[in-house]
Amino acid sequence: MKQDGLSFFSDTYLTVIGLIIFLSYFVFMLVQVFKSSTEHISHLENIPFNTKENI
Amino acid sequence: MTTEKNQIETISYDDDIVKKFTLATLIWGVAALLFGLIAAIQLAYWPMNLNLEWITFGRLRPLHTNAAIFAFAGNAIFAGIYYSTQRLLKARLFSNLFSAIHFWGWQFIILCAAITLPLGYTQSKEYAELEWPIDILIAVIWVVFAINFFMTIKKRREKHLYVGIWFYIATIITVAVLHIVNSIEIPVAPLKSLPIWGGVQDALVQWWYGHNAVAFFLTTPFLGLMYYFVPKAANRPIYSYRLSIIHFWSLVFIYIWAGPHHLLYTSLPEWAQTLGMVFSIMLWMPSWGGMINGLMTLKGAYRELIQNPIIKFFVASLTFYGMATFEGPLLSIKSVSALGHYTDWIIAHVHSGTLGWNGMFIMGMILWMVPKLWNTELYSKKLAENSFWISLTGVLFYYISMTVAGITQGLMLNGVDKSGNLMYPDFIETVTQIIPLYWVRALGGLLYITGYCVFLYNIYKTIQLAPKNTTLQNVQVTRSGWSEKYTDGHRKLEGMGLAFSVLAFLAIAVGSIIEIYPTLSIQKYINPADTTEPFTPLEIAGRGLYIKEGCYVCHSQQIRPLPAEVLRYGKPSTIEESMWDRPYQWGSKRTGPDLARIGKKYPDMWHFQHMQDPRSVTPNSIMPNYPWLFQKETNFVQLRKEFSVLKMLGVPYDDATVANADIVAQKQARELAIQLQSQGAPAGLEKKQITALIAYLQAMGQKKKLAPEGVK
Repeated sequence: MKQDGLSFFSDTYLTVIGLIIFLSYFVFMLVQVFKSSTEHISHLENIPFNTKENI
Repeated sequence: MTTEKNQIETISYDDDIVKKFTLATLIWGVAALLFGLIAAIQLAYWPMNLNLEWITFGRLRPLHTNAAIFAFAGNAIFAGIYYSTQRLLKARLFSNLFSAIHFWGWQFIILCAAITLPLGYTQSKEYAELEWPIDILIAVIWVVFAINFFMTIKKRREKHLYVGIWFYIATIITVAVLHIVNSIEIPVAPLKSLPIWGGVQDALVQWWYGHNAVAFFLTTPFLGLMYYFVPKAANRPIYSYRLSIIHFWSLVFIYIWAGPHHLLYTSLPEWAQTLGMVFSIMLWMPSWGGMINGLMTLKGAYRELIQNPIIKFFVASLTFYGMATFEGPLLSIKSVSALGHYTDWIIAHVHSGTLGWNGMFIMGMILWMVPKLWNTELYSKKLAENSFWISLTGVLFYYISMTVAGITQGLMLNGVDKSGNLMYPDFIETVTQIIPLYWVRALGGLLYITGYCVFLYNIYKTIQLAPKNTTLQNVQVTRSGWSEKYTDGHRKLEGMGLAFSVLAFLAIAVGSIIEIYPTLSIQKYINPADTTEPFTPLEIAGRGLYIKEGCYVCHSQQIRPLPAEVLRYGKPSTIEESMWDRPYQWGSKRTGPDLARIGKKYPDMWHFQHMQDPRSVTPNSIMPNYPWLFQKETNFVQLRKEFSVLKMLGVPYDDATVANADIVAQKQARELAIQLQSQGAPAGLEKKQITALIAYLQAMGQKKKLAPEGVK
């Protein structure tokens, strides 16, 4: 049954390419994110509080 | 961070445009919900179609979805984006004129949709039904919005782009790409066009669009809004900014790949289906990252959840987002899809997203924003509480009833006994079984509208009691982040609007290209020996009516290779059978049976009676009557132009057929009318629409194999 299923599965390289691209991209992002300083992150997360809504 | 000594500047935000979009949201919300309620009642009680073509279910349902997505959610997105962007960037919107064009242009588009869809002008592609002139208008207005937004980024005073802005950037870029690619069509008449994509290509491009319309119109902008409004309402920063960065990039990268999960078990090439399924499952991770980030922002503020109705709306919204984004990947698993696809389970899933995630968020956002915009206090906290609980009850009634209905019908349709026979051979048996649940759904919808009206009244009173003739309010801002020295890549990127936008585009482009490009070389997947003849001119005219009446809303034309389906409908659909179809008609829901092989299953007269009164041949049917098809005449004149476009797109018609398409059609219509008359139908049907429609229905799955030299 497994072989029957796989017999319809062509162009496997496209799925593999997709997964490799995503994995590389994800690891790169993860490294970038954790390299950011806490001070910088604190500034970013407080941007919504830097102005008042109605003065 | 480097300390800056910038001078304080006094500016004013353009809140007038935010107010306009907010009011438009409130008004269109009533329309969208009302259309939905009427459609829900029509399914439970067919006479509610009132024998009126303009509000019959097939035409009303697209009106409902378009109103909910583009009118209700669309206006809310623009209101929220314009409000938060100005504050996050410390800059007034780029242009008052562009804002005004954006607002009035968008309302005009909605008005065009509200007129053309009930009249039956549709491309039949879900969430992309609007015809070509409106498509062009959408593209123009979207570009105006994009210019207004990106030019505001350019003149910003806050160097760093907050995560909410990233989501807006991804939304603007991706929606533009999706809309343009999916709307490449060739006009045939002032309100009719044919897509350049055909059959499986059209299906893949459409669901690449359809899935990502949900992703980038109903998800990413709302996540951007969530990252602004939830911290503001809770008065504390987002739980984890680091998580938000991972959330953003993972989500925009993965989402674009998942479209083919709408086409599992169809004749779409297997690799594309698997790709869609794998990436859909992966999508669970970033989706829940966003949900957890939103909910955990309230950590330590649980008193707020009890006391503040706005927080209640946001928490319910995020919870529905979590549920929907768990259920989505679940339904994308092929074995689950075999049960759930084409059933009301999908409808439940979609509504937990739109009513729960989007609707509840919009109500929370407006409750928070309106008192600030009108410089007043909320009229009644008690009314806000009541509207929350009534709406929440409504969503739950809706969701639970439709999930149960979907699973029930799915199990019945897939039921095969020990002898290898269908347990429920009559499709209608599975429909009558879930009618009580359709009533519960209608009750849920009614409750949701009731809650929305209470919310509306509260907002109306809030605005009414606001101080009149308030002057423009100024705000003092300083420039920040501009003198900072960058130390790492992403940090630098956050300050570069253009580079950030290009990278966001690349993130969505990778999946799109890998997924769509190979499928465009359709010849690779076609067996010339299995290619069938295209439809005749009369059948094409009938097909146009099938599309106009929205038959695809309730009937699929795609038989999956599942045992029960093959037993019920015949051999699985092939890629060759629909390769000439423009637009494709595979459908996404089976309120009625699949029609891929309906041709010649019943006599012509059966179809005649069925369209006149479905219950005369199928007792208990919930299908509407179509009396106007027996009165109105077929537009034969348009066929020559339509056939010349089809031939240009590669459909193998000879020149004589194209040049005489109307004459050929009328000849076939006369023959069919005589045949109908011999079976008891009245005379004089040759020009009536019903004749063309019957010709099309009888041709489905009955086309002969085409000689190999006919394939181009």
